[in-house]
Amino acid sequence: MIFSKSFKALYLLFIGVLSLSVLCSCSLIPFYRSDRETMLSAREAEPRVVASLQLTDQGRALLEEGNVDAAIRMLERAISLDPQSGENYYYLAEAWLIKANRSQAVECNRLAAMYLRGQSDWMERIVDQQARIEQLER
Amino acid sequence: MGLLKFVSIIAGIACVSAVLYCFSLADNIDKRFSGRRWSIPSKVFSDLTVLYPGQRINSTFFYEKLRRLGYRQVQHAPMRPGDMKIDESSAELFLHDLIVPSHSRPGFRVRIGLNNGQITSVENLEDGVPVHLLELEPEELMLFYGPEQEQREVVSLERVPQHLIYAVLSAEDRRFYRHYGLDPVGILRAVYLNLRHGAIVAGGSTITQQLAKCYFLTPKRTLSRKLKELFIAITIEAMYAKDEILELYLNEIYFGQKGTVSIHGIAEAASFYFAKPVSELSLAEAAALAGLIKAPNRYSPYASTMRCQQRRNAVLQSMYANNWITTAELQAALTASIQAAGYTVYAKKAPYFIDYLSEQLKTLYSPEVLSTLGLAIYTTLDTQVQMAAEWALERGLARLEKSYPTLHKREADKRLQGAVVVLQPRSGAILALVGGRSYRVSQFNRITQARRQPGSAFKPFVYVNGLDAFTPAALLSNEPRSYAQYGEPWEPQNFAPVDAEQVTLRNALAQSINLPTVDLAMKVGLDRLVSTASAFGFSTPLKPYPSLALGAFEVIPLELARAYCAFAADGVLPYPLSLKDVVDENGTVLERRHMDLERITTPAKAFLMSSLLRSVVTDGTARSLKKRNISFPVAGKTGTTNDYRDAWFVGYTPDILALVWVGFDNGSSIHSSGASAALPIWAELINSIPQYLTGNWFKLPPGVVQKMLCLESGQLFLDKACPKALQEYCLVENAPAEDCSMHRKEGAVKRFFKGINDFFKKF
Repeated sequence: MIFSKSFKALYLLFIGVLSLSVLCSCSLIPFYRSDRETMLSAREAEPRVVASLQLTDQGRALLEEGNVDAAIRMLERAISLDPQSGENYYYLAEAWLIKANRSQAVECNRLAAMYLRGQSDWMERIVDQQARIEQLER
Repeated sequence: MGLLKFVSIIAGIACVSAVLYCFSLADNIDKRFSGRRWSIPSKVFSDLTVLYPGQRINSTFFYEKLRRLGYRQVQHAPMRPGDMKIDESSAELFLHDLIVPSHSRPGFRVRIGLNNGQITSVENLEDGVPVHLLELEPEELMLFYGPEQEQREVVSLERVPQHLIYAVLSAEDRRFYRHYGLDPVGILRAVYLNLRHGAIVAGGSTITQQLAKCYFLTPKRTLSRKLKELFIAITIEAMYAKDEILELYLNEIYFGQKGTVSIHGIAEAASFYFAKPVSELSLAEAAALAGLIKAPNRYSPYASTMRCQQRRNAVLQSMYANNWITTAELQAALTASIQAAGYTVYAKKAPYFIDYLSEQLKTLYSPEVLSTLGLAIYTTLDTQVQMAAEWALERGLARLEKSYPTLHKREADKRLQGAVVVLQPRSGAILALVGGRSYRVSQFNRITQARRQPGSAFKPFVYVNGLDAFTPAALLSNEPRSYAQYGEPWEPQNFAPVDAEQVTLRNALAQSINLPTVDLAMKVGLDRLVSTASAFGFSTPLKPYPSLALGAFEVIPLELARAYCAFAADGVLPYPLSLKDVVDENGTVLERRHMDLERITTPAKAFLMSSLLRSVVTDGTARSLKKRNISFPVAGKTGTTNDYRDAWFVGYTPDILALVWVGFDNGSSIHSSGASAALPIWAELINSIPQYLTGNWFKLPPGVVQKMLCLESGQLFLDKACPKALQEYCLVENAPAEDCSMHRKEGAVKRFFKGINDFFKKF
């Protein structure tokens, strides 16, 4: 019986070590997150991304000036340099919204939402854009 | 007195008749000059070229591109647009003006730092500011000539430098501003000179007469024609100002021959002979061009530099005699050497692409509009990618012929063929299109017109259907089976023997194993497979037969490439774009084509497909890419049809997608698989366009999770129970949630408890 109690203690110890190791692995998550942030900023420092952002800015400026066709062309060129940048799709959706092209606005808005998910400031704008696209339908 | 009266009456009648005749001509002349004066062929342009610091480049294609854009190498610092100074670590350019429909910028001086095939920096030499993104102007690809085959650039007189006007007047009609269309002094001078030399050395035709001749008359030399020319000249002089006549003349005059195309107008001549805008011609160049007018093909610098120089010097001397240049200017120009720009006889660049584009243009404009209205047509073509594709295809086919001498056919129209198309998967922009080995031999476009069986290159469309019900770790049957097809039994076989009874879905695609693919297609349903194919844009008839799963139905190669774009672009199928903008002479945009997106599958499934197709490259039938310097992430699929009739390879990254096909037009066997015939061409092409290779892979979209699965069961991996684990992507909706049932009983914890129990039992 004593023998069995000491085994139970050993068993509990084993469980304890197991729990500790699980906790340790949980504490790795923040590291992973910071890794992702580093990766993101590394992506932004990528020369092609930097070049693409130049075109994004020009596209946005054209959009603000009301030169929608030229803005679309510029944003398309930004996308061809960096097809995984959500910002370009957001502005492109905005341009198609102005041109009342619902199907293209919807696709671009969806892509923006996908690439910018997790960025709350952007998501707010994207949801708002989505609402405006829906209004367009009505 | 009677005679005098008679003569006066006759003279009066003649004068009245002449005036009436001039009036009758005036109407004709007015009609001719007030309408559209010249037919200007429409021009087709490539896309812009983007350069940025950090970009890798292919130096050979890069410098070739600059040369084709008209940049000339100089030894001094660039001073004029088009100047280019190259040294080991940089290229200094004086950029041409850039004018495209969406924006424009004036030319400026720039230094592009280069090191080891990479752009290290871009600096604006005007203000020393670094440039993050530099755009080079579009490249001229072709002109739509009318039946008269004339090439002309129209220029206004204000843009023509004064020394060029003086040169032309000195060469052709120095008293132009003083006569009325007819120059008696000039005629007398010509008669005197011709008599003195005993040969025709000078002509008495004024510029106005020459214009009349060009515009209204045939070159036949008869007295009546000469008289008519005279009357037309006088009428033109009465109707138009001198400057207007000179401008018409400078734009009309014939300047020589470029192959079958005739060069007209001073501006076109400036670019043909000296690759310069007319405003930038030096005095010596201006005099050389003016000298050409007399007999363009005799005095052309391309015919004889010496004759050209002698004639130029005669013009310069004449300019000096007329006090239009100083002694110093004369001396400097006389000693200048003739440096003609050089030209290649007009040949279509990217001819198959142009044909494909022309088909679309035909639906918008008549051939007459295209050959007369001088439209600017902007396209998606990247000439560096086009050069790379043409080069890689020719090298690859020649290599195959060398390795397998039976593939070498003597008759030009029976030779081994191949085709390549390169697309930007997101936008659908066609960057390059090679429809065959030699456009001269065969204009049949094997990318847009051919219908060929895709073989295994069709399999991904079976698998994308299967993802709804199966994870990549799911097991598919590899057992031989007989299926009914056309009322007969059909027994598919594997390309190479595979022993396992079951294989994972990922492996089945990676190794391109036939039996599990048909198994999957049957489980999913053939009708569904046909409708999926239609959603992916295949327009050729596909029947719901089991062999469809193995690509037994013909497809158009461009449609196959386009369908793969959806995997590379989050499930969005783009419309293949070749035409971007059409702009008229006034800069008004007549036509605009944008990327057109259509979602046909979810981003999650597209990501999963890319992941599966990446396994083809890392562990499957395309793993030989590693040996060919493809070290960055790539998704791809090989294809080989029955009897080795077709060899395919389609490969992509998020940034670029290329399809290569190799085969014979008549369907003879090429005795090679997709991996050995088409894949090397793909690798060579991709390696030679480093500007498109970012090394990026697809970001994990929502709807995909990564799970640790048991390799044998495809269910959740049990540590210490399942023999082999597999990290696998799954769709959230069908990700395994159950522990591995195959090894659950033998689980580690159970074994542990069992061991303890056994131990206690002993006591």
